[in-house]
Amino acid sequence: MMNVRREPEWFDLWDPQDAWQPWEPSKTDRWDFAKTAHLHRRAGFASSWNVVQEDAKRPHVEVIQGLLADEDSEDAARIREADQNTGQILAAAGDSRRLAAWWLLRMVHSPEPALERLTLFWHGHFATSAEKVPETNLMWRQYLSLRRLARGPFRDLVQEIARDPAMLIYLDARDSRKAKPNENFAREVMELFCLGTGNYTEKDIRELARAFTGGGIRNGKFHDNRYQFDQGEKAFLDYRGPANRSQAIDAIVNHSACARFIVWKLLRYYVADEIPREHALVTHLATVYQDNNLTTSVLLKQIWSSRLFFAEACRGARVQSPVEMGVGLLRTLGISFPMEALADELRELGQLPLFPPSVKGWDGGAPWIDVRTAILRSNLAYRIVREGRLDSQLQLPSWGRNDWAVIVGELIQLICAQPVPAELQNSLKQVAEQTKDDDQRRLAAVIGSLATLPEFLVC
Amino acid sequence: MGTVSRRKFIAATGATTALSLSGALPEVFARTATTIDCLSETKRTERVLVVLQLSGGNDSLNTLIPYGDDAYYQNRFSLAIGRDQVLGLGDYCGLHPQLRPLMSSIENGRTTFVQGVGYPNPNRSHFESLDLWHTAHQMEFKPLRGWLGTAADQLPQNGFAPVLQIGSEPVPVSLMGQRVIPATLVDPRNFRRSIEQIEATAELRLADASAPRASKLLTRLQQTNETADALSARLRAAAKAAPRSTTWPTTGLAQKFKHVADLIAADLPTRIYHLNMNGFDTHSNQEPAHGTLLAEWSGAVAAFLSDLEEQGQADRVLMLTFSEFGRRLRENASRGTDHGAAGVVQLSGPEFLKPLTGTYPSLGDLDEGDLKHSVDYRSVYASILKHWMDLDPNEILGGRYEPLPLFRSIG
Repeated sequence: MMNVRREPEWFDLWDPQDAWQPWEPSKTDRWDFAKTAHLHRRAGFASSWNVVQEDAKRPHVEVIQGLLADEDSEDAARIREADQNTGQILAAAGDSRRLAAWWLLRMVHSPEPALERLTLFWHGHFATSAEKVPETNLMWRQYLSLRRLARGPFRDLVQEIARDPAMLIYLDARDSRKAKPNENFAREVMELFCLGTGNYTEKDIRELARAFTGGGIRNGKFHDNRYQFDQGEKAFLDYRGPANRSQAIDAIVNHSACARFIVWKLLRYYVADEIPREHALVTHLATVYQDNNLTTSVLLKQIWSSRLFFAEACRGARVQSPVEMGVGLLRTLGISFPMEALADELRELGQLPLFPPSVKGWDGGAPWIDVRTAILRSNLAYRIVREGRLDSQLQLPSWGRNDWAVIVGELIQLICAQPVPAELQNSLKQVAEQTKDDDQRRLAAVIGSLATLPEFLVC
Repeated sequence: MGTVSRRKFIAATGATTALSLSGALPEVFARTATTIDCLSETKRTERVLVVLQLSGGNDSLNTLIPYGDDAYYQNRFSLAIGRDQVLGLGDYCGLHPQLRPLMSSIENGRTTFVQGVGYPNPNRSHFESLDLWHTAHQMEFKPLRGWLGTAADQLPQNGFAPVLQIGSEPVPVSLMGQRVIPATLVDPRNFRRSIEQIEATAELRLADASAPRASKLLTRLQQTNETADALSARLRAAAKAAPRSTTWPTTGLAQKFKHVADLIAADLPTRIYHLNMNGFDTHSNQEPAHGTLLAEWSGAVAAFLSDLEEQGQADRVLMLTFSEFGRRLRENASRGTDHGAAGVVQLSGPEFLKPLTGTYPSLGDLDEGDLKHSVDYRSVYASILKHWMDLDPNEILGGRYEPLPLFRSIG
């Protein structure tokens, strides 16, 4: 490995052994509103005041367990059923942009926001863009597969994606023949899906490509053409043998670099943007992942329960993605907003689901914010509140009491991972008081102004 | 009430620039106006660099075509461009017919193609190869720093937004520096915050500059917010550049170049512009898609050069086109081409020594089926940094690379 020069970050101060121990509440370090809001922002897409308030009263272990399971209620079952039907209809209608808008809506009102967020992670990981896959029903089926397998063993996900028609179309890998193996899919399996750069050679890619020959699509489904499959011996990584598609993937997933690579990407998504790939925090957790058959729910439970996750410095250590910001604002304030308009805005901000910019997905982190997106984000925040439909009673304890100093304080507690300096809170209060007309306009002015501050951009 | 305290704030900073600008800008921007350059009458003289990235790996073999070599026709059985269609630049190679709009610039000595540009141990991953081109192989910094951002760090700080990307993509690594905050926008005409319509928000806009932030991340994000506000104010003040007569194609790339031309006409202090064009990863059915891309590229560049000439800025602006790699000599089974190694770089603007720089890589001496490089891309960078930007290339590139002889009258 190259000697990397970087400035120390907050997480460098943690001993990995200690960092991933379960956090326990104490008299000086309680399970409170701020920690609950942090968990909801990171594991899901943030939640309303009432939900956070309720969960702050339950044992935190129970709340985390709840985020990892399907909600067991008749209401939840009805919502799931309706979502499934609507998605199916949109998929059949063949408009992926509308299907993306539907997914955003599901993120806003799903009984399992953490599952949608994890599915979005896998979608960015196994990035496939509808830009190049005109068959919307294939994008829909890929979404269903990712969602169904999201919490389970990573191996199952890769096996599924290696036969996923949308993916094979996206990577030009649907007609790889033994005389001319297509290297594209093999390359991405090693580079982006399983191992990460530096853990394989160009020769490994060419050998692996031979194991993927014969795979194609027939009638919208994966089809193995055994006449085009290269049955010869292959040698990649430490594997030697006649591997077919399945066996080749097993060999790659079993490689020790795989657990490290996936843990690293999950930590970037859930804990800190800047965590380096070879960090001790990553390697320590990779052992846990490996010991549990790369079962993602087990790993997430450990991350979300950990001391590091609930450390003060962890709050606000990530830059919110556009989807996290848009969906989060709708969820926290309980606003209804036209989802197609939101989809258009998020595309401008660089993150429209089903349309990742490349097979690498979304890089995330600090690069989300440049001068263009800084302005667009504040404009979107303003627009959502100005044009959206507010619940008659906004879920804030002091809403309607016309005390904007308190309302501003509550909004910041709910929305921002980091406190806003006192003088700016005072300015926000003045913004509300000087804005004419009704409370919704005042709220829009406050949120639009809050969104010009860095505290709004992190989570 | 707001008005009084805003005036007080301006007076307290003692910023005469802000006061002199108060006629041109809404008072809301008084704070940001202190940080922007003066809108002076004299035209700028500093040289400008415009970089275009062809993303996906442009097929250089079907861009600058070795039509004098049988090996080209043997390996490109379905994709070869016929000898009679190639726009010959000598006996060995010539341009794809869709690059015809560049021919007049070549004939005037104001465009050169650098042949066989690459680097040792070619990396055939889009992302890794792009990182190498962006950082000039300096991968040891985290976060990564780019050659253009590092160059901008060393330029005289004569205004904000020294580097600017036109486009909606994330800022590329090449523009990242230690100090400089790269700017990016899609359309200069609608680059503003909605809340500026609300009078009440003025107080907040003034106050936020001074509040200290707890973390590095928050501080950096706040700086980006401030740069955004300064740029927004400056762009509107500069929106009234004189109209010009060049006819621009309606393509997306041409519109980006038009924005750059407008900003140059408006005397923005930006020294480095970055543009991106997608679609060059032509693994299957390469034609006619690749030809269409080349037409968009050449049409936009030709219009840009003609606009600059009309503005009288042709000698002040250099443009560079690069791609992360070329493509394999032998076409694949899907009438496409796979990731290769060495490619071509195109330069336009000032007068060049020759229309073709360097030598065409041999089609008979390949590295795993790909062209070997004859020019290290860092030698192209070194020449631009040293001769065009008047900077020390060794420091920026982290090593010594012989500047490639390119320019007729400088260097």
